[in-house]
Amino acid sequence: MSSEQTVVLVGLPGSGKTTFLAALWHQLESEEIQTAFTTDRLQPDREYLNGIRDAWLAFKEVPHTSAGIEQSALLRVRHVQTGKKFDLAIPDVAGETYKRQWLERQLPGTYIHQLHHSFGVILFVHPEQVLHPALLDGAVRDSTGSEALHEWEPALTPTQVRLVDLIQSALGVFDRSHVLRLALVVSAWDLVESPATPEVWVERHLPLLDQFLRANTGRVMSKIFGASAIGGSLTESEMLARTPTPSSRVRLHISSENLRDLSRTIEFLTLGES
Amino acid sequence: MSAQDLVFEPLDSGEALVSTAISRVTAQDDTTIVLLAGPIKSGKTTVIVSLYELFNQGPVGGLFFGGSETLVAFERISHTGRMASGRSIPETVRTNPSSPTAFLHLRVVGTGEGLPKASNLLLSDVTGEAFEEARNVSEPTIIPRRLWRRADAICVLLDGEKLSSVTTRHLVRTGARSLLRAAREANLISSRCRLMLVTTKWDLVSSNETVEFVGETESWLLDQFRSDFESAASHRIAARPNSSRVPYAYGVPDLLVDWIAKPQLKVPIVAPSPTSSGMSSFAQVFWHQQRELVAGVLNVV
Repeated sequence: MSSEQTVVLVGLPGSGKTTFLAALWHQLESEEIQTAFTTDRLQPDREYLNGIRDAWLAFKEVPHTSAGIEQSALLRVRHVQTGKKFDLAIPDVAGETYKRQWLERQLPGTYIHQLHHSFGVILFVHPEQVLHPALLDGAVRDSTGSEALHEWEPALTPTQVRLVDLIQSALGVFDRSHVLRLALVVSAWDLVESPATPEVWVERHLPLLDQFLRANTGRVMSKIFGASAIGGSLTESEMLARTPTPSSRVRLHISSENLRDLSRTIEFLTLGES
Repeated sequence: MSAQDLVFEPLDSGEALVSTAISRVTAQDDTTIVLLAGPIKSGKTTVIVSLYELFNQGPVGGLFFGGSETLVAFERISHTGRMASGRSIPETVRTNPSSPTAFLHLRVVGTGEGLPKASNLLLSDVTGEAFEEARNVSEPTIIPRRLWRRADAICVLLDGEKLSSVTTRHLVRTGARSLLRAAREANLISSRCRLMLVTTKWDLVSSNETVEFVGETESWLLDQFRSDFESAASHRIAARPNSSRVPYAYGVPDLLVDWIAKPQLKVPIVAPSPTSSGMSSFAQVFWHQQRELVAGVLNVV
């Protein structure tokens, strides 16, 4: 017997949510590789998932969810190791919605509802979209004289501050009797130069977020993943097409482990740390 | 689902907290309220900005950043110290005089032995106008009495750049003393409040003679006012140094650790709780009235 619960995908525009979902659906449904979950039976409506999967298979840009529109995917899955069954609702909300949270200080009512009924959140960050707070040098004494001053605007906020704000807001609406499970996915991991582990990358590039997660283990159970849902750049499609199966071009890094199964993120959210 | 189906719920603004809103924070973990007091341009807001920027780079003083209810406010005041502002020289925006009792919030969590598990900091930089008013009148209105008395720590800032000049150093010294004397005589200081003398712009203090003068000033002020506070200490910082002689936010981590340190009780005496059974109604009223005065001195069990 399973009951429907939600896995909420959260992230700023272009952070890789929809591409991840497309690749995940293919891996689960195709059974090309061994995965932590299998699709127990097909859900009645597969149009959205098949649409984004088709784009992913054809090495096309997976269409981003338009602002103001929310797509919802339902996966009926069974955890292979324990036999537990889950109906997972995975709303694919436009990144602009989360962008709006910081800019306009408001949350969609549907997102609040989803959090109330969720296992947890997959939070995406794209390594090439991280805005760092670059400080001015206090030792400079003379103005260049040609300054074009910019007033503060929310869009100038460092990425790590906005991500902390996203999680704080989620905690504000989440059922406080439970710990919020958070899978932090660094997407496009293949673009990370000289990667150590995803944990080290977050500590170096998002130190404020890293501290926040370490300081709030009583409220947030988190795990950091590095994911490449495409396996490389779309311009390398010919090379990527030579992999034995589409599922096998995907990469998921957990600490120093190099895996392929994206459903390990779902496993963490539904069953906790193994 | 289409656009018209999306209904939005408002979030907290993320701006500085007004004094009436801080009870939401103080009801959670241990909270330390810090007032930073000093004349205009003595560096009050820069101290706060530098602390926030340090956390943006990593843990500070062995403490993790555990969250903030005023992230938007922090971002606003930090902006003019960043390249994104288009400036070539960092500046600090002046505290808004129309909201002199606004607080910035940080939640910090200790990472090692001796540091608190989780603690809230509420930081308010007292405007220069409020500083002058507190020196000059017995009933300040810009920062009301109840807020002064609620403070767990009062940081009196001494401008290191002005201390380095013979024409301005005595203004600094006298200004700090007159504030502290006025606060004492107007009963603005609670018994559990800690005093911190903070000499700012330490990178601009370069001569031995000035260092000596600063030391004498610190001793002079501490000797006069130490007994009015739970404890007293001095710090020397350079929140945004003008040279590479000292690192960014020099001395700020130690100041942060001092802020959240638990005060040492003066006299550990066990006294009856106001709620103890068998106590007369008069005694209960007495303890409720005296509680604020004695709480920093007695272990009330």
